[in-house]
Amino acid sequence: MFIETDYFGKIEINEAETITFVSEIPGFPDSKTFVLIPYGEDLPFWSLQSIEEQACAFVVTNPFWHKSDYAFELSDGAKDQLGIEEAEHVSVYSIVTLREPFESSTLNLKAPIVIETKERRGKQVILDDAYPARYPLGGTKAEVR
Amino acid sequence: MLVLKRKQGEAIHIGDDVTLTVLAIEGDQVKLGIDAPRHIDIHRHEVYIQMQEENESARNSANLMKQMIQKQSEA
Repeated sequence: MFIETDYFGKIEINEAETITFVSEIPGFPDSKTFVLIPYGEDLPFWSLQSIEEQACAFVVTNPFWHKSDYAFELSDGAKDQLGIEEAEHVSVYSIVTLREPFESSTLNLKAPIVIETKERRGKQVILDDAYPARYPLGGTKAEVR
Repeated sequence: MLVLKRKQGEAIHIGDDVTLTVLAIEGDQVKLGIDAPRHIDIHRHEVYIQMQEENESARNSANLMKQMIQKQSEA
C-alpha cells in the first residue's frame, strides 16, 4: 500500500510490516498503526510514521546504543497488552527530540516504545524508573554523517 | 466533575472493574489503592501530561532530521 508522509513523500509500505499500537501514544489518540522507516543505512535513526496521520512521525533510535546499561522491567499489564511471551520477540526504541545544535538533542528513556515483533504490536510504556525523559544524545554526532 | 466525599478506608467503584480506595490520609497527602484490570494503564497525571508534551515536541524532530540530512548531502 502507498502512504503519504511529510518527510519521505508518498512511499510504498508492506502492510505486513505495520505495527499496531495497543494503547494511545500520549498526545496522539488518532494514530494506532505505524511503520518504521530507516532514514538510511548509515544513520542510527528510524522514522516511526503513522499510517493514519501523515504529519505524525517520530524520530526513534535504539536506546542501548546511547546508554548501554539501560534496562527496565516491563509490567505484567504491558506484557499482557502486547502479548509478549518470549523476550526474543521484543524490541525497544526511544523517541528522539532533535534540537539545534545537534549536541543538545535528547532521547526519551522514561517512555520507550516497546514492540512485540511476532504479531507486530506496539506500546509506548511509561516507566516508574528514574530514567529521564530528556537523556542527552550528545556524543553520537560522529555517527551522523 | 462528580465530587464524592470519602473517609479513610472507604472506596469508590468505577465501571465494572475499577475500585479506588482511600488507604490513608497523611497531612496534605492521600494514599490511594487502585484495583483495575491489567489492560488499564495507571499513571500520575503530571507524568502523563509530561509525556504528551515530550511527544508533541519530539514530533517536530522529523523536520529537523530532514533538514540535517539535506545539509549533509549538500556538504
